[in-house]
Amino acid sequence: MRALTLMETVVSASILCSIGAVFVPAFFANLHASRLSEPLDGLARIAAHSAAFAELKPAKEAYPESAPLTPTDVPRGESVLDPPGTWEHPTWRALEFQPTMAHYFSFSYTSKSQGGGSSFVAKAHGDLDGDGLFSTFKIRGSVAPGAGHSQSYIEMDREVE
Amino acid sequence: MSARALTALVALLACGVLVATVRPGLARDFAKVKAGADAYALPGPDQAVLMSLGYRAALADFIYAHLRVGHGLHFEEKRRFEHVKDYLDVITTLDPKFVEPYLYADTFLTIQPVPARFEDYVAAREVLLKGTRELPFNQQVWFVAGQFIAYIAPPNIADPELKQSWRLEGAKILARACELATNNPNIPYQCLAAATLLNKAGEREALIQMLTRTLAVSDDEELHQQVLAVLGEWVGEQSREREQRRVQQFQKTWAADLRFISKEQLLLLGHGFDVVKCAGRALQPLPNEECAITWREWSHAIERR
Repeated sequence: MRALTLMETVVSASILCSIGAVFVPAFFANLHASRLSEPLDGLARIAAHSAAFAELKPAKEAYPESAPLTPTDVPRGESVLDPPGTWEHPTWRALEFQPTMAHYFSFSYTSKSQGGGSSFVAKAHGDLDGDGLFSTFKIRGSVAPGAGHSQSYIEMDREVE
Repeated sequence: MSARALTALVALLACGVLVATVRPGLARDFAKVKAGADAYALPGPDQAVLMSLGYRAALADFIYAHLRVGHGLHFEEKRRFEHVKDYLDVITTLDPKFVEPYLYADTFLTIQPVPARFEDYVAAREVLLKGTRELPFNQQVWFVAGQFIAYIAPPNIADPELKQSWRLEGAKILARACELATNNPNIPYQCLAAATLLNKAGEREALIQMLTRTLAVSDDEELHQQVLAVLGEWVGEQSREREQRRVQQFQKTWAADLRFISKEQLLLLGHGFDVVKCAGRALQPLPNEECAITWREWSHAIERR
């Protein structure tokens, strides 16, 4: 078997690099995007259960009380498995929200009553690259007196950090 | 160094200079180009079934993974994911019993980086209803479908009549979710929410049916108390007492007969009876509760008391 000539090596390397230049960034972009399903699903579930909760309650106390950022420390660049009791806050239980697998995001829930109605903001914070800068996803919902629950689309801040 | 090696080296350097000269301009142009629309490359659902060459579940899995990643990518690019319904149609045709697409259909369609349109809610409802048809005993699918159609979608519907019909349809689906055996700890309040919707819609018969069926199939003591309270308040004290009596009587029968099996198993087995004592019961059109063979007969006998 003869060795490759310099020209053959150069051509082969350029072809491989060209293919790599297309597929490697695409692979990492897809990997990153797949991790976004955690905050999106989580916030959608929180909003759905908040809507059901609001159905049973008067408008001024339509949503469960506020719940702090859980887990308190946003995972930095790696997924965490929560110790038992992390999601015991009555609000998370009322909203039936508890990640059962290792996860990358922390969630918070803030509700308030105002002018006979009430509103909530659910947030997901993540630090996928572990650089201390957080991405934030949030969804808002509200109930006005005499009207049903309504919710916003998901807002994002620094979603790619 | 030979002449050929020198030529190759010169060619390499020339390429390097060419790339360095052309790249900045191209990079600038490339940065300006943003994906503005999605291209949908899959054939229709029926053709996709043929295309799978029999590996229907595998292809459905693959497309579902693509859909999940695509949803995240569109969030990063802050633009609408256009062909979600088409992907879901293909996936659910390839593998109609695949649960995940039904559970997340409403998220994919209506939770987007831009406000969802009315047609997105209609599409999500369509997929969820297909889920309830394909998976008639999957409590999670019924629960998600009911919750979406009853609470989440209606505020986005302008037509009051359509809004009301969706709420009622959702309440009935939630009522069915309540009847399905479940370990979902949140189901009690979902059942009550469904009851609230049925009551508001004046669907008294459906309300009674849902509450009595929930009482019949659920083991949850807390849920029993809440359902009985709702029955008393909305249907009448008499109805509450009758149902309470029935529940107590069932508990007694269960304890006396096969206490070690679950309630679902007992309901499946039917009412136990003493063969000798009940001989000739075929001659009695209305057997008493001791000789009832089915739970329906037993229930009628209790009511006649």
